[in-house]
Amino acid sequence: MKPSLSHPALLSALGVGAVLLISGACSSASKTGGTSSPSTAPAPSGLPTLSSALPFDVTVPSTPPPTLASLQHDFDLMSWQTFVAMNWPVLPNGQPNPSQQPGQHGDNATVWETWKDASEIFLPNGAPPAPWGSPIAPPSFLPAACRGLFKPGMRVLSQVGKTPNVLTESIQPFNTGPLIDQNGRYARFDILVNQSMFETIVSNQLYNKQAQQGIKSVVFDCGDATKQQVGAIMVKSAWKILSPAEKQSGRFHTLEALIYTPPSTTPPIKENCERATVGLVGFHIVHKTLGAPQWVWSTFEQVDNCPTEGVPPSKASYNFYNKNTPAAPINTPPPRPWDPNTTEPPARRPQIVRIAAIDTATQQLNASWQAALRAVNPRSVWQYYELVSTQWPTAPAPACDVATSAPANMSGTPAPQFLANTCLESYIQGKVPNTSSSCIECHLNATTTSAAFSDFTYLLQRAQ
Amino acid sequence: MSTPPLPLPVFVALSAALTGVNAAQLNPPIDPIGIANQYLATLTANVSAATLSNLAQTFQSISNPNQAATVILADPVLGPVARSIMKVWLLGSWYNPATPTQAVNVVSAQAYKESLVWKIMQSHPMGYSMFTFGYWAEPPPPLNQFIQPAS
Repeated sequence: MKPSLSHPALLSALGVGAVLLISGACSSASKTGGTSSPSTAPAPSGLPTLSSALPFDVTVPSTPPPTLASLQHDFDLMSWQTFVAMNWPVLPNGQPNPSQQPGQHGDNATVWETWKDASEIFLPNGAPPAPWGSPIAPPSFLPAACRGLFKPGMRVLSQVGKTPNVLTESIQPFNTGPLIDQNGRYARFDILVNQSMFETIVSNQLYNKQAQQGIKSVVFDCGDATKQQVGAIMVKSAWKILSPAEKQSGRFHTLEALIYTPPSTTPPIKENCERATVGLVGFHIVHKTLGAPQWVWSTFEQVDNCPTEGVPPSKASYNFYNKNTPAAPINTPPPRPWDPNTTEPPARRPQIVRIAAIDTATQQLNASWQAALRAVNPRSVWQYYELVSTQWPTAPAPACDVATSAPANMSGTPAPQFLANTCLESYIQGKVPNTSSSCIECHLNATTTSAAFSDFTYLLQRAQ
Repeated sequence: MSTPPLPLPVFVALSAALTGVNAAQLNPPIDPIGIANQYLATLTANVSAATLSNLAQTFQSISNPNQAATVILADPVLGPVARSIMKVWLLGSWYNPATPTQAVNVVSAQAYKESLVWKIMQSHPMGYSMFTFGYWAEPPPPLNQFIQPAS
């Protein structure tokens, strides 16, 4: 792994907040570019410094020589820096708010939530998406009946399974299925991209199936400290509909969302829209950098999701585990049919446990960052999130174009070999090669609709 | 802690000489898989400490690794062990030195996919591929992308 120094810089990815204007800063801002310098919260002694600056790449100290463990720590640190920067309070123009810190008022709207949603990019008939910074219009698939519920800036959550439409009859290679919480409600997922990734999609017309025919290979931009460039970032979030008690708990980042269920005939599912307060329970951050052209795969969870296998459950309750039924089969999706409009009875709520414990070193890092977030405000919601791990290539491709520069080892021999988020890869946790969840090994198979390598993202399959 | 009869660095250097593959590829400095340790553990479980110690001493007594390998392969006791080492690296399967044509077991799922024979043939094991979709329509990458020769 070649040492790489990165320099914090102003996050310049813009999106649309509930309202407004685009400031026009691009995603490769210089240190002094954009509207303000990075916000940095002075750290209480011994705690990490919170910053709104997205890292360009992993930072590896030049001495002593790196080891697997030390590099894992470096990437875990990058994950936390990225998590904090992305969840920084956001101004109406999509910039991080320099006068606030994450959780200063308990919860806050975030920078990443102003980024482009997949539903805004891949439109019917392959129509071009609105430019970066445009107000969020209702997603194209929303029927008129749902539009009445939609407010500008509202998130629309419709995806119920790991695959775009788990309710189709297509057979999936993994035993994926819907995630149902202990209130019987279906979890929902959402995928967003930053400006760098969005601009690559737009400039190459990758939102259009016809245009994809002529594409032999896709290469997203790498984060690059020498160019002061953040590079491509994609985010996948998992949300649960909160009960009144959960809303009051202050343990979730929340937002008001429109929960949309498209109609289906097989199985029969009614179209439905509802407004609900949802809480963030799982969060993937995937960042392409020059030091890791196979991308850096960071995954976070809300701390109450589930216990770890073999460790006695210590919490009063969990989001996705029932303490009263410890003998229930674990990590098994409920039998079909799956109807997201249904509030499922207890017997049909999957019993989720974490199979691979979070490493001790990562737990220690989590504790220090959670303490730093708590120091901003003891009621900060952000202290209730933890890093599961970070997957990174130990033999990274020598250039940003992985397919050309590393054709014989496109995965880059990832570490850790397996990584799963209990909300997002609930049913494929384990340690079996080619079967258990490994971010890089799975996403290596991603292609465009014309079967060209799509640089580790399945998003381009959504082009119409 | 007592010194193992065949320390890992010696095992890796010997393996490089026997297989012709660079030691840094067999046991990378940043190694999330640890295949060399797996193979050494298999060897240690199946070959006596005395034989492994003899193997280590013989290899280290000759300064040129290739010459050392030649001497070892010609030895009536060490030769079969050395050939089992070659097979475990190349095929991911353990062959007892006493029954050289009968594989006992695939060492592990990782050994199956990391076995060198697939890289030498510029291909991949059945059921696992490190290539991207559609690779079969193109010539494979050159051999030097797969294998770093022992120096």
